[in-house]
Amino acid sequence: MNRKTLLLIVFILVAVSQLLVPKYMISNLAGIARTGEEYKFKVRHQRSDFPSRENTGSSLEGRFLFLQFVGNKYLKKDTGKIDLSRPVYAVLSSDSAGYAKVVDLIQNKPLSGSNWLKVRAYKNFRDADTSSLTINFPFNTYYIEDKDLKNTEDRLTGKLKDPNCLIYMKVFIRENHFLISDLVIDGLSFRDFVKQPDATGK
Amino acid sequence: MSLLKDLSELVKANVITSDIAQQISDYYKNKQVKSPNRQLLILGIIGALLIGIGVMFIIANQWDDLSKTTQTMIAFLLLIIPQLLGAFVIIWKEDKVVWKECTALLLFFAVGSSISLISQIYQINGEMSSYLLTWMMLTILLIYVFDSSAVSIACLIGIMSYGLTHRFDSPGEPGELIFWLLMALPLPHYLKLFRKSPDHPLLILHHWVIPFVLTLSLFTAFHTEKTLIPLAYVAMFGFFYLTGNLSYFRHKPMIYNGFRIFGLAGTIVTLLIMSFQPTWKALYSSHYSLGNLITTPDFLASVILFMLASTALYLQKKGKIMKDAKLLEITFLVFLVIFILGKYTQIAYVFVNLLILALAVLTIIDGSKRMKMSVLNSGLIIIALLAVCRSFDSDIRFVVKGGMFVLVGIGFFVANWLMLKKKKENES
Repeated sequence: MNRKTLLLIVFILVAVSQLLVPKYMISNLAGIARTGEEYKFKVRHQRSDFPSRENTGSSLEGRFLFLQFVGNKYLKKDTGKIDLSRPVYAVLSSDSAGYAKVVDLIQNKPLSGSNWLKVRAYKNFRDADTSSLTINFPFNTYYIEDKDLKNTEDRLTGKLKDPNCLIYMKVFIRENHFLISDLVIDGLSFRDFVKQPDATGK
Repeated sequence: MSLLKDLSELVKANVITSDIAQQISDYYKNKQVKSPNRQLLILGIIGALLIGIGVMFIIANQWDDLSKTTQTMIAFLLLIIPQLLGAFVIIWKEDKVVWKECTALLLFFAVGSSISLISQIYQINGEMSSYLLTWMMLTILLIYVFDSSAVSIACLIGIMSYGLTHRFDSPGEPGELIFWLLMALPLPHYLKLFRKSPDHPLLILHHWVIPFVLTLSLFTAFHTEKTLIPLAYVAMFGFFYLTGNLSYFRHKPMIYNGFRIFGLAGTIVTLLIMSFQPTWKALYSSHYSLGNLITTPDFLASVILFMLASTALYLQKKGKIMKDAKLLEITFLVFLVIFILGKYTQIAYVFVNLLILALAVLTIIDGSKRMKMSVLNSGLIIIALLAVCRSFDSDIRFVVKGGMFVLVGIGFFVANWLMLKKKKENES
């Protein structure tokens, strides 16, 4: 086998693996949608009266919606035992309305169950309860396409600031893998929300 | 080439024979075939970069009007087209350096773009470190398939970014081993380039990128005992400095010698940081005992770096008189002694200040002896930096601080004036 043939074989193997990774990403998503459990994460509204960005809630910046969630607090008496400099695992459950809540926060990967995520947790010193931990979920950005953004930017910003508007994100979760399935605004799927006419009637 | 044009004139003037003229002509023609056109290579690489970025912008402009399936197909096409080009280059353009470099770099960015496009299309959120790791693992072999130095540089920077983001995404989780393994993979290519094409423009870039990447990456090895960080850094910079002393670098212009510059600047900066008393207090506050340190990877990293620096020093000074060694070459050993003394005394920072001062004075003397303004002034700059650092110390009176700056300023004028005078005397 000459050098050129060998290089070509290696290159074909590399090229195939390069193609398989994005393909795996897509098929993995389909698997999560099929076998994962769906959770609703209630979105925290935007508050302009808070001085710290950390507490200003969700915000729209360019094409990205940066989300903070209401259920990102965890109360436990012995949180001091958790090493917050390392990632932790949040075990999830849902309440009667289907909203996600963290039922346990542990240092090591859970050996059973599929309803868990690797997260970062930290102590927010603004919290009244000092034993509470704030959790950063990994699905905290929602990408909005340009054509949708043109039509919805003002309405979406308004909804984010309106405390009476219910916004939540639907996420399928299975053993740290997740799939954002929808963003629901005032009972409307994001797909339907963008189709609604804006204030100018466009 | 002007030399080739002049050959006939030199033959006519009987300066060289026609045989020698032919040999010279053949030599340069042969050299041109063997070594790629530098300009073409650099422009080709910049072109590949611009094409990649340009295509992404063009697609992004129309992207949102397309369906999800079309977007996915385009994301895959963006990867498949450079891959087909890659196969074409391996089969038909194997000996064309510019083709290989440009295609490999285009494919490197195509892989990163396609993963990121798929993530965007399907709203896949994830850790930056996982993305970078996947990207690097899928592209690192391109260095050897295409013999590509541009991809080697891109991978070194990408792997460094992975190490840094992994440190923040998943601190304390295993990942260092794969990071250092990936970091070692481009090195055989670098050594091959070093041996075969010592003047290759991308080799010169490697001489800067490697110390840069290692400087930023080293601290990722430290996560339990931060105590040893300064020790490891001084050893690494010592190793860089000694590498920059190799005969290959000594006989080349300064632009080739990233190792020496990083070694010199890194040693001085680390020593300046350690010249503050509070830095040592912070070190004492961690577990500063051999029992605590010896079992950590941090200790292992420090030992390896010390062994590398010591071996380089031994090989360079073997058979020579040790007193000829420059202080900068043995600074890592002196600092080790100060570091150990720091366990028993509270004035280790004073020793560091004296070490910096000694380095500066010796550099000034060296510059003066060799009549080199640049060396002389670098010594003065070290003193000036030391004065700036001491100006932050609250226990030094303002009049003393002011006096230090005035003295350094006068030093600059006097030293440069004396040097110019000496030069003029020598010329006359």
